[in-house]
Amino acid sequence: MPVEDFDKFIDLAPYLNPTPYVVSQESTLARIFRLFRTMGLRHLMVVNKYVNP
Amino acid sequence: MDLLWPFIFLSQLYYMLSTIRHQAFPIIEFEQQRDKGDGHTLGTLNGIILRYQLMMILKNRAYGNRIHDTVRCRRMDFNEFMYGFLSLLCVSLAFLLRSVGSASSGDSSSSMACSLLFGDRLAVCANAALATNLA
Repeated sequence: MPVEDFDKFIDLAPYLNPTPYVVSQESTLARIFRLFRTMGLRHLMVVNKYVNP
Repeated sequence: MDLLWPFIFLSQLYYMLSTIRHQAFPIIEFEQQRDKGDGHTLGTLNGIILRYQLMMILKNRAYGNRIHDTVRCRRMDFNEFMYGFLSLLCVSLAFLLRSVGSASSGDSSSSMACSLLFGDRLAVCANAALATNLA
């Protein structure tokens, strides 16, 4: 990456996945394990009740 | 912190990618008025982006000097390779209703044709959306 591009901007909004799989921080391990295995997930967000990751 | 924002400087992204080995990054949206009294000052979860997608953005140089430049700087092959998520406004509701009606009245072959048409329609919408983005 050229150094002169370091002050450029990137707009990630068109490319981000707006609807990821999330679990609550109070979820049980069994439920999360089942979610991973049944949905074939590789990433899972843990959020609290204010939807903070 | 392994969090990103929808609009970031390239230097921030480069630092993040070089220091953190995660394969996906949550993207948050800061809210100014957020004080629940229990220390939750992080922004709301906006989405998730893969490291692979970030690398593709950097590789194809889909960035610009200002926020509005990024749309202009996208390459066509980059857009064909990696679709953004479509807006609901791209999907024509009239077409949906027509295809559903013909599928319910017709046989299985017509419903198959409808699904094919629907796929084509989505592709057409995607191309139209990309064209409007590029224009």
